[in-house]
Amino acid sequence: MIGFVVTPEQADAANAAIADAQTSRGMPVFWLAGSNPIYHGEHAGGCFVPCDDATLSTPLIGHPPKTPQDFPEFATIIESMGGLDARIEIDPSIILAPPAP
Amino acid sequence: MRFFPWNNTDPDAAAYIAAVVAGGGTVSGTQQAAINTFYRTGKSDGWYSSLKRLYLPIWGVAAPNAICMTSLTSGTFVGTVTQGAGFVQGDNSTGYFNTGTALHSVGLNGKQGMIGVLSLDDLGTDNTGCFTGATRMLLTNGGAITSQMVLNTTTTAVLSASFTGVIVASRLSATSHTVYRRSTASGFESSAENTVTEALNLPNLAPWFAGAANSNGTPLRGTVTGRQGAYFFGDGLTTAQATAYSLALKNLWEVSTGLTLA
Repeated sequence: MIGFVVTPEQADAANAAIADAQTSRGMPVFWLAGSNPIYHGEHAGGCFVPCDDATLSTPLIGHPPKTPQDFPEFATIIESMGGLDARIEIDPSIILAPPAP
Repeated sequence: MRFFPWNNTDPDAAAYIAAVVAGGGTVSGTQQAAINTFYRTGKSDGWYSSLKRLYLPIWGVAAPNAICMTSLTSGTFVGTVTQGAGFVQGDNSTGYFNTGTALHSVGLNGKQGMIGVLSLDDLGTDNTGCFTGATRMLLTNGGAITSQMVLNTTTTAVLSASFTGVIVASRLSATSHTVYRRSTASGFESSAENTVTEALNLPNLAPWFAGAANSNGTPLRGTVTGRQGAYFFGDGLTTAQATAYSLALKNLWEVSTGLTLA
């Protein structure tokens, strides 16, 4: 699973910017990259924001559909998390929450 | 834009189609007719008003897939969710759908309720719904279809069947809690009823999720792999209503996608 490992604050800011990109165009917030707390391993305490090729090419809206990369805010949001080259691959198990009660 | 060439167009069908098209969906004449039939059937059969939220994520594009057929409000896809032709599919880790709707806000008062999915796969422990501790409105797959709509978790309605088809879990009272499964037109393939008296207290702290259960505000991850063609919740349905609704939803999905439920 490929994406950014960032601080919770960075993850929140990135998702807020993604939401703003939708609401500023009069749209509801129908898509977010998400913020996944990391519970285990060397990145514990951080947040994982998924950003693999499938995420980047998600058909979001319009005909033909725009993807996240088609929005002008894309570059700024990606840069706020370190740029595409900062993405790493993680083991999905590190974001699994402890068992629910 | 005109959608229907005939005079009996249901206004809610027309509004939904317009919203899908505005979001980037392409709705063929066949699909328009199927949608119109679904709304008209639901209103004549009497189950339409019980649907508080119903999503039909078949359009291959996130924005129209996020639109509720009954309220026209939009939910939010979060994380990696494949927007397929006829379905959506989570990545078993980050992806889910947040309806943004808490149960009590749409009149589910803890005395009754209904949840369900149109599922294409019998994989893993797919689940949908929400829970806060032991207060639950949840549908899961773990070798059998299990519905929890209870204050405690000691009693559930369990249906030993594949987690495919239209799955509806409904409860009308403290002693009537039934899970239905349909994949063919000829009635239910199976159903199971739990008549043990249970205290009822549907959760309200967290909005209802599809593709993952909302565990007190946090998606329960690592459990969802199957493709889903619809998901919904609302007021409890009688057996007759569940029969008619599940058939109408099956027909809508199959005609609109050209696919067939297994």
